[in-house]
Amino acid sequence: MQKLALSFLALLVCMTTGRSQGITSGKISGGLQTNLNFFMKDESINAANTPQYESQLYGADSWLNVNYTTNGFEAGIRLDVYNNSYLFNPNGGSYTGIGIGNWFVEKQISKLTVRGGYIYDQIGSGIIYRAYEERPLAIDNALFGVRASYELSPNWRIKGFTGQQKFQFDRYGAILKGGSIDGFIAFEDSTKKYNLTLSPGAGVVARTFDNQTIEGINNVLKYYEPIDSIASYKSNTYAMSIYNTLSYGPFTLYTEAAYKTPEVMMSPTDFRHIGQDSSAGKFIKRAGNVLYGSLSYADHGLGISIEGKRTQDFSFRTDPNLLLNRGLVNYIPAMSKINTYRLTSRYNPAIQFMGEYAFQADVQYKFNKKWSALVNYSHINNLEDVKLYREVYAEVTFKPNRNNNFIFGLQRQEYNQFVYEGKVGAPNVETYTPFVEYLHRFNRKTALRIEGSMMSTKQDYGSWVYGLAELSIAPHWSFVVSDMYNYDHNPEKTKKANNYPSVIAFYTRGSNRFSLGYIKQVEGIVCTGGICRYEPAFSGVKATISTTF
Amino acid sequence: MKYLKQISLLSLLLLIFNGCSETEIVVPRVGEIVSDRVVLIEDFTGVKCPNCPNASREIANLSKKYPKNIVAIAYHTNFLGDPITKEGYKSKYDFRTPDGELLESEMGSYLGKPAVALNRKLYNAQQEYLLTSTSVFGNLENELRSIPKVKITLDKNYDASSRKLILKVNISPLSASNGDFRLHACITEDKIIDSQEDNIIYVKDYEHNHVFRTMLSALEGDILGSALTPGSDFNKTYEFILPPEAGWWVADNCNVVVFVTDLSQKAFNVGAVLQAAEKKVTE
Repeated sequence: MQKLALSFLALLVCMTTGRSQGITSGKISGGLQTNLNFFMKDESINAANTPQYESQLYGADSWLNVNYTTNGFEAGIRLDVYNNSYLFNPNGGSYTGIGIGNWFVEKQISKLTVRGGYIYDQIGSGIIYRAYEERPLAIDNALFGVRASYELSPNWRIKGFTGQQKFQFDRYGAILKGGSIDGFIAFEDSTKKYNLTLSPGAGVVARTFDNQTIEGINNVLKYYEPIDSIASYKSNTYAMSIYNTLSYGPFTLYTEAAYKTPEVMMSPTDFRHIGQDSSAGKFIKRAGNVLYGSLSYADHGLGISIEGKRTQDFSFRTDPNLLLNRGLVNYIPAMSKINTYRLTSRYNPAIQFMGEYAFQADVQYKFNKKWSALVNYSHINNLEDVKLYREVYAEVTFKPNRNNNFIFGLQRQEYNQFVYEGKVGAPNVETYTPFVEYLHRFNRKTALRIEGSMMSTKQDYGSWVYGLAELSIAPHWSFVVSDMYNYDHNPEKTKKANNYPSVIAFYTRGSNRFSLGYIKQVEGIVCTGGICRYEPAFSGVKATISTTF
Repeated sequence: MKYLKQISLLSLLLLIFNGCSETEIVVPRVGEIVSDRVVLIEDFTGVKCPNCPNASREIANLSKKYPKNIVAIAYHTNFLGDPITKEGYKSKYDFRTPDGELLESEMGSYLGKPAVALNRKLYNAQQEYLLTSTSVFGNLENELRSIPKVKITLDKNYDASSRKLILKVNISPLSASNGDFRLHACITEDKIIDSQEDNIIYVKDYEHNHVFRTMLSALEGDILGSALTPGSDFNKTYEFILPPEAGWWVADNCNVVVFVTDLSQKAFNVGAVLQAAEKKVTE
């Protein structure tokens, strides 16, 4: 693999040389993202007892990618560097690895486009297939293989792919193959104010187990008691979906229905018999299905969005023995608001692949140039109608003039900590979080943003207060000072009320951005789009470099 | 008719995926195993780990199935292992030990508990962390069918009044081989009653078994040598005075566990286990 990547790099260099000699014209682009961590042990916040805090003291994650594009040809390569990284395993893991994390070549030949190497892609909204990268969650499940797509007509395209899913610098054994057809249909009528358009599509993905994965599954199943036993299963699993986006003036309606053939999956809520006892977590063999829809309306300062989904037995991995975010083949859209304030984003509902019934409504309205408001409601239950998550969020923005901007609001959450974090006996976390943000521009260069919020809860760690001040001096500097304080702490969770202060300086020059900060961070669950990862407590210095070229 | 081409292609695609019938994979059943091999199961656990009793139950079930072939040690370590402070379920004991913690750091990491090592081996190339019990125990059958390289004989003497234990270990090589051989000895304790999170509830009177108490040998093992030769036995004696009984350290519930590793067959930073043995302290 490394030899292949080096040959590829040589090819890129040759192309670049050729370009400078005028043989071919092309464009080189890329980016660097580097996160450096200097660990400073603090047992009071549980930032301790990992190799990083005890002996290594330093860690880094870095990604450098270079892409080259010319005349319908595109190639790219990415170097991944992990030094004493806790990204892949926050429970005390320390991973060091350096290598080519991604490379690809793509060529357009008339209506046919072929791509080989590591491929990111998705079908529909990702319910049956999504290969993507989400660095903070340590997800990079690119397909290593080949993809061909063909333009049947200006509005219709068909594609097919086959390969194996990436895992760090290795690959999982199962084979993934699939295809989809996507189109666009416009019903044009010049006599009507709006035109109706449709973007229909359909896709299918198959996963074929390799012998090692089959052995791993059999090794578990062969010890099952007869009452739980699965006598046989198929090597191939098929997932298929049909989807459509309907647009009519200010209305957009997206619908998708997916089905997956019966396969062996891990169900965390089913109980397995062990002798006379039983334990949660059992392999089951069932078919799965998902129904998902969203309707949005945007016109005259009013924006309304309504989403709903029902998921049943739709865990789809390269290997059912894999845990957490490993080996995910698909993605199911999250049904909760993406919050940005520190305290309003503390509790996030992770997607429940095995069963979930959820809907969300979001209304935004701009009253006039000065006043606007947003209201959001999220409602998630499991299929047994157990309450998993509720959120009511209201936010008002007041902008009296161009130099001042106020945002204030209130969030109410109910969060099933037992289901989302596996904490035994934990009651639902119930929070009230008022928040306020004020932005003042002193002049064209200098601005101050102040953010304050307070989370009132009797559960988990107890109540918090958070404050942040950000001074921006355009175009280069910004400084952020913040503190999170567990003012009404839960003695069962933490011995004392801890402070989590941060001081960070940012420097931006062109497309380069640097930061250096001293940070204390409480442990928690970090989520992006409903996919979550446990983030351990952090104490120390973080430095980042990000640049694009 | 306008979209005939698209519909035809989609139909073809579906046909490709579903057109062929497939022979199902039949799950094999575990057969009877008669073996002299004794395997070591090391369970990294914690009283605040709700899924950990699942591994304990699996170990108990396997021990019933193969009573002469399984030795287990439960190391309670920091992650989800600090004593329970919940009112009504407060832990009486802190099961964590510095040696357990050190061993865990030598054994690598895990994605979550229960994390289990079977004979201190890795079972696939991508395993860079300890697996859960369900993923590991499937390899038990293969381990039990392997031929042991050494025979371990334990001869012990325990004086109840002084609580002094004298353990004589005899290692008898059964086949010749080279490596970096180490002898490990430790004490475990069964039937300690204390609180534990168990799936969805707290259990106040949970029975903790195989709890690691102390090493008798060095944690990294006492050096046996670089060669195993049939007829050239190794003998080692350990002496230990059991601490006073205080709810735990009950002599009748304590076991000596002995195992031989080969550091040249290294997974993580520890050597693979060649053979294990266990005996009750007072038996």
